Amino acid sequence: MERTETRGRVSRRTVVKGMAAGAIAMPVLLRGSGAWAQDVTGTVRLSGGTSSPDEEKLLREVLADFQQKFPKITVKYEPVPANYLIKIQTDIAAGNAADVFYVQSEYAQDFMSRGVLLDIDDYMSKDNVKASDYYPGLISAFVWQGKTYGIPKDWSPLGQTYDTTAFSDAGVKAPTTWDELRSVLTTLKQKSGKPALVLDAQFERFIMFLLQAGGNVTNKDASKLTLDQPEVLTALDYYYGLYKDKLSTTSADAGAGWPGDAFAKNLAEDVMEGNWMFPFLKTNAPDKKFACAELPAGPAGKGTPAFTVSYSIFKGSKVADAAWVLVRFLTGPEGMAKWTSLGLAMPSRPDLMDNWVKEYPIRKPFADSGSYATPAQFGPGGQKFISDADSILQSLFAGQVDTKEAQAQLVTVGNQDITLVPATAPTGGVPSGATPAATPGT
Amino acid sequence: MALAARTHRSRNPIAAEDRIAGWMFLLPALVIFAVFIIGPILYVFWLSFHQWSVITPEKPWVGLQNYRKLFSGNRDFEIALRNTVWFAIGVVPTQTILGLLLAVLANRKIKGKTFFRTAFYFPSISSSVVISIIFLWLYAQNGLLNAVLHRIGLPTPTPPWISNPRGVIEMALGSFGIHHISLWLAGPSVALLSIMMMNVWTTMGTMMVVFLAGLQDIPPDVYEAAALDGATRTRQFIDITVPLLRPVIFFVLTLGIIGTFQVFDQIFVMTSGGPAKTTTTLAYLVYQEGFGNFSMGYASAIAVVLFFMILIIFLIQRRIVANQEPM
Amino acid sequence: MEATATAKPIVEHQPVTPTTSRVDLVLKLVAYVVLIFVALLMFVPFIFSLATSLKTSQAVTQMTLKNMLWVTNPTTQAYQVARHANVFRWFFNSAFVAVIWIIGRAITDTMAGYALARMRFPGRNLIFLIIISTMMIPGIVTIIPKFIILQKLHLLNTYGALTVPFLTDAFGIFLMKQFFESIPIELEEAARVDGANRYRMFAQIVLPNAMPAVTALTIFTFQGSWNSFLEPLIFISGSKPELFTLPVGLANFHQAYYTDWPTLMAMAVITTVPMAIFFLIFQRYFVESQTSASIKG
Repeated sequence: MERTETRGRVSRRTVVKGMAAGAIAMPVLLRGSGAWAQDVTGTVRLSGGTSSPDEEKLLREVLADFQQKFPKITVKYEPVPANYLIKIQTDIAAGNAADVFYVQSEYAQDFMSRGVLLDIDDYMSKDNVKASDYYPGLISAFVWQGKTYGIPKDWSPLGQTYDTTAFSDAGVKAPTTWDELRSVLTTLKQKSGKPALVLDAQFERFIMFLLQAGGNVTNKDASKLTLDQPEVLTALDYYYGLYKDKLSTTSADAGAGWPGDAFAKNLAEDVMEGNWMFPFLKTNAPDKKFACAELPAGPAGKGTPAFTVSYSIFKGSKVADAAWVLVRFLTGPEGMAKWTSLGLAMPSRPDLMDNWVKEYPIRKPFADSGSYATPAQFGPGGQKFISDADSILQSLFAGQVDTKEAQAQLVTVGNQDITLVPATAPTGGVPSGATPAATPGT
Repeated sequence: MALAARTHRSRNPIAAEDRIAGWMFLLPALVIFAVFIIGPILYVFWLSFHQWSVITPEKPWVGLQNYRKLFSGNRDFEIALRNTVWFAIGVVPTQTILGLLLAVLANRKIKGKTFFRTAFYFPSISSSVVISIIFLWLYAQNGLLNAVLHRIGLPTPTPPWISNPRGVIEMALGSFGIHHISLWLAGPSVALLSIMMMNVWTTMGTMMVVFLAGLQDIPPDVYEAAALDGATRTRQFIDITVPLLRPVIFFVLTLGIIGTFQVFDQIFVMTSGGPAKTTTTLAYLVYQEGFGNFSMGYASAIAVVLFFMILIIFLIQRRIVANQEPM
Repeated sequence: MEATATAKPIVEHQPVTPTTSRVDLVLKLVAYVVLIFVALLMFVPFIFSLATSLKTSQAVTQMTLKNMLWVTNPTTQAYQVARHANVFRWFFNSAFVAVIWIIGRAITDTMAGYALARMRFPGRNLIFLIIISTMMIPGIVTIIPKFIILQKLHLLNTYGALTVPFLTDAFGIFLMKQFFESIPIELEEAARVDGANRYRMFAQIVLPNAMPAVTALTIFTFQGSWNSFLEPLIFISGSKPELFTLPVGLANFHQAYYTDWPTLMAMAVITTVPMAIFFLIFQRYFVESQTSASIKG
């Protein structure tokens, strides 16, 4: 379960001299945050998965800022380096959950539908926090039946990262369409003799091709499964075709832990990963010359999943007010600016994106894909669906099933795992489930 | 001796005191047993008739629903059962036979017997997590095993070992042009086979040490008599060694089967049940359903079934051994 | 098969066979070849991990067969990283936890084993049966209830969670029961004549004589605690890395940085070496306690 989850894997040992980057995080006044917050007291426990000491250290700095601003609230930060989902579940089961914790979009609906999280709409209106402060596609991942249960703390799409030396040696440019991708990979292979793209048999990678083909797991309001549609087969054929024709390979085949690792070890010339690539590269391949591009467009145009994680408040929290003040700060302009300042994460607030891109111009294509990214969320049971779908794609790559059979199996597990939302008019005008999010570009 | 002890005890003048002292002596152990073992087992039974997502306090009664889900052709359960059975079929006889053969080889006047015993036993004292991580590296595409195979000109599997979901029997038959065999007959996947090989590597030495002790308890004059009767070494092995070792063999087999039904650490560290679920064992499925899929009631039902499977194996073994207690 | 649970040296019976010595010689040669080959197989993975741990991560990507088992420019870089990842803290935790397990079980298992072996009281057989049958329960089955109980006792995320549930074990009780049944009762009867009650008898007569079996118990307990994985994984929050034991720390590190082979191998070496030293010192007892326990079936 965890080991297929390569996103969020960034590495240690980066020497953080974050102050230069921190300088851009200009203090912005807390808009609309009523004076009431200053009088809130309590000790708030904050728990979240962390993938590197850098990330942990940075969050501690952000929390120190918070502490200064709200001295009456004490924050106890409990980072979880691995097995986060198990951790949070066992803590909830034991009645020991933190007041504020991370919730990933993939299993957010499982949590929200079971009433584990606190509905924060009242707090939001009280402090004039608007859903529109965030990319709508991201915040909608934490809306269930018209109520909001979390605020996205950051996000990442998938994008191409390619080896500029290899590309210029072969005389190719970053591909922008499926056809170009095949031809670029063919040229690169003629040059090096091995597949240039490292791409794993994982549903959360396949989903990009599915979106580019115009398909998805469910329809817009998550009331109907759409895995039986022809787009799924188109995407499967293209995705598996790259591997079958040895234009792409998997990280295991290449002898790496994940595509980013393969890229760092010069076993790949092109990978399709997220923002978590860059801290990893900085540590493991500091001299590597690379550039980024949006994912190639498919028959239905551009498409990428958006991975996001929220700060949510535990329903059983005894310090909900203080917890909200913390969430408000962390997802507010000031807290998020600092949190995203080292480039470990991308801001989920459009108002911070311009500055972020100025700081990390090479990653502009990642920011640009915000305008069409679709949240990685497939209904309650989506987490199980992802692991079942991974298994089917692994069979496909091992040649045990063909693409038609793979699609049939996807339909079966989709029906079995995913709880669909009744096809009524979406309440509150905010559809839950797989919402193709229009996120304004920057 | 057991009989003698019993006679002594019946005459024991402090029998009355023991009625209380006995429980006092047991008390520390019993408290821990009751709280951390017996209680949890009863709780799991109870849970298996309920639905529980772990993250909600509600645990509604669902009767036999969890069990019905298991036995009404649930694919994941069937896969896990298949993997577990293949694991046991592959590992238990192999480690037993190899252990016995090594013991027979070492059971002669040779130098360095202690060294061999030590060497063979060593893997079984190392942490399963450590061994799993070492073997992950060993089995990697650019790891030691592939390097050795390349050197001696043998092919290596693609995808590499623990990432390969293809059934080994299926692959073997495939090379004879036989395709599309049933899932049960496809055999363990290359990935599962890799973990099985690691398991045999770990336990083989323990088996050998156990057998070696068993062999040394066989009085030498039995062999001398047989040799005088003109029995060959092979005959001696089949007619004397194996029958006399029977209790040890059964013990080793039972322990082996129970051990393989509990395999968890290796799966957790090496494959997380993949690729294509081909290394998802029953014990791992319990974990996955309970913690990954918000179905702790269902996971408890799997645990209960697993418990009864082990119990039945244990009882069968007791019966067999009881029937042929030769000594 | 009247083996005992004592750690007495195994008597070296050799099958004496009057057949020709040439056959013997050939067989002996075959035996040596096979045994040496298998012994190599046992060591190679450890050598491989030791060799890897002395390399840099860059050196590990391009490796030839010769390179894999040999180191040309050894570096302790990986050990530095392991040290920064707190591996020595985990080491301390594992050692500390092992000591508590050993002390706890030496007390509870010997007492329970003695009661079951020597005393007659109502319910004795039933208790023994129940204790023995718990040996078959896979740890995963009871992990959630255990977790909830530890929470109620406020022991989660403390050394208590790593030790309290493990202060006794069925196998140890079984081992001690077998042992006490095998030793002569006369000493105890003599003490009885001197007017000692059960408690004094146990403390002054029985326990001092039980040292070989307690040694075996210690070894098993150490092995069990050093390798214990599932429970510490669930009982210690990921947010308390200072309470991780070695296997949990290692598994966590692997999940976070899973192809940093030199560091992972350095951690493997750090975990294995103390076990190896302990094993070499007590090698005789290790092998024999395993053997005698097994043969009792």
